[in-house]
Amino acid sequence: MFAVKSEPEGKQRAAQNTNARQIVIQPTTARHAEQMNRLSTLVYSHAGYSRVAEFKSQAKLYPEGQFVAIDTTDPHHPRVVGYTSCMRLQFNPAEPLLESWSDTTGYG
Amino acid sequence: MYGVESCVHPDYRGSGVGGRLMDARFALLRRLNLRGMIAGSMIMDYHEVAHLIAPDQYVHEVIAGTRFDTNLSKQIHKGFRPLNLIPNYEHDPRSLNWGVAILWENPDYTPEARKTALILPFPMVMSGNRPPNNGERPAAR
Repeated sequence: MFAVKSEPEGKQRAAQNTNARQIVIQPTTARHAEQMNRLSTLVYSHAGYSRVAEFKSQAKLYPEGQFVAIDTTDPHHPRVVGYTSCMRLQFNPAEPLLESWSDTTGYG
Repeated sequence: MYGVESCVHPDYRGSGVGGRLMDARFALLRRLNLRGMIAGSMIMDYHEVAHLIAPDQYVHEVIAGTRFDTNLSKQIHKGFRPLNLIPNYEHDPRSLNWGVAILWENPDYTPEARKTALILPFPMVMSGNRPPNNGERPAAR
């Protein structure tokens, strides 16, 4: 394991403020797509287009590889605060990646 | 497996949400007995020193633990191994479009188990109520 410099103090303080929240990790479904799109827009600043169809497609293509983090502190208003997406890809870790990144990942 | 994307709300960063999402991925890799996961990591803080050092030097310093990158440092801490730089990874002024290919190898991966799972014994692929193979040959049609 590599030694890694610890997180800056300000970010550690931010973490303490969110510790009281109830976060649940669960599989992504199509009903999360709207909130995921809002989160993605906030983080990646892509206000000009929607990713709702993309998120729904990922959940349909490979449901096992999709997860959302939901803040359930207010059970009446669960809120998507994180998500992750995976797809199946054939590769051998023992061999170098000779193709370009775009080719390897099918352009994302 | 390919880690397409991970995203955490800015208000929740540093609170373990990203780590828990990553753990869900690792659990999936173990459950499906997959070799590992490859992903791209955006070096988010590179713009702060881009006028001083090249991206490969930056990554070496993050690996050595002498420099903290908001993204890559956490992934290394989680057990990812940086492989190589990716030019034009994502258009983002923070990374100056640089990314790093990172790999997490499943320590529990067993090739034998995967082979067994894929090659099912003959009775297992039959439909109906036939009992497990008792040594008899299947009846000729």
